[in-house]
Amino acid sequence: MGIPVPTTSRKPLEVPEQVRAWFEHPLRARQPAPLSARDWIAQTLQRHFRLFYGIAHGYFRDPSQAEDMVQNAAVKALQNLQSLKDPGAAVEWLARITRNACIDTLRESRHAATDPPEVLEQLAVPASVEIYRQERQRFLLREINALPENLAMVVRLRFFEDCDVSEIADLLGLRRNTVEVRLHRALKKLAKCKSLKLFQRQSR
Amino acid sequence: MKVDDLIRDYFDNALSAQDAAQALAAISGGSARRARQMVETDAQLRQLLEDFEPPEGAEERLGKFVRSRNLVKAPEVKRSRLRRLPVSLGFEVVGFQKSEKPAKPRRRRKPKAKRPKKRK
Repeated sequence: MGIPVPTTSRKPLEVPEQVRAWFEHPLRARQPAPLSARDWIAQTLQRHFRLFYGIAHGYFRDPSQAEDMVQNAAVKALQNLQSLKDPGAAVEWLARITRNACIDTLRESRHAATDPPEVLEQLAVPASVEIYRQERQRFLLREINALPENLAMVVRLRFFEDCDVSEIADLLGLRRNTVEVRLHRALKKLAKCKSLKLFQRQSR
Repeated sequence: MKVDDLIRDYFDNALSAQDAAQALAAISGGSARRARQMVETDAQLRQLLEDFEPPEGAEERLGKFVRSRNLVKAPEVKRSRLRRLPVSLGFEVVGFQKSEKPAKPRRRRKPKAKRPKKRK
């Protein structure tokens, strides 16, 4: 268990003054979002990209499809920017949009045509250890996605962003104790998941 | 040191997984055992997802995509059909004021309640 302890000091999500002013304006619904708001969303997406990509990759096997999903989520977020009430909670909001976009696409693709046979053949055969590792990671991401959303968000911030409890509490606007309880519950559930048990068996 | 304090220190990244597990192993009791399991699970998950990285350059691509187009929707102002007409004409109509007020929703008539059929 020689895992290095990350020493990142993360601040809660910064919102530029101009963007905050737009969000706090009483007639926001009738005013177009300023260009700075678009820039701010782009920055937030780039900064937490690993988290959003992690959510999408848990639903889709193909990395490029997961990337497309994050792009779709970005489009949806920008189109509905006016519905975001608290800009400080943008990360959680974007994560929920990503998750919903993935679920919607999966629902639609159930009725769509499947991949051509040669693509399926390529995916069925594990070419190397690297692919095997990626697959195991994807299974784990899927199990994280299967958790209740409030637990999953805490886990994502912990493992994708290397946040400690107080940083998670700041980002999600929760009390420290709440984060601890959610983390404990999530870890208890994840300890039972198959991909982790497989990992434990191999590391012994 | 109590179990709760150890766990708290570990989740605050003030204590490494190895140190926390060692300290918890020295404490007897169910809560210490459960806490050690939790620390181990956390460390294993972190190790598994340590090298999880999105494709190269994906962040920059997304940033460029978001900044390249105006994806922000203009807010829709509802107007009645009569008020929409001068706007769609494309030239100024004398006496017409382009107001920002949203149109009032139309009132609907209440459907009449059906009379119960008389039984003979």
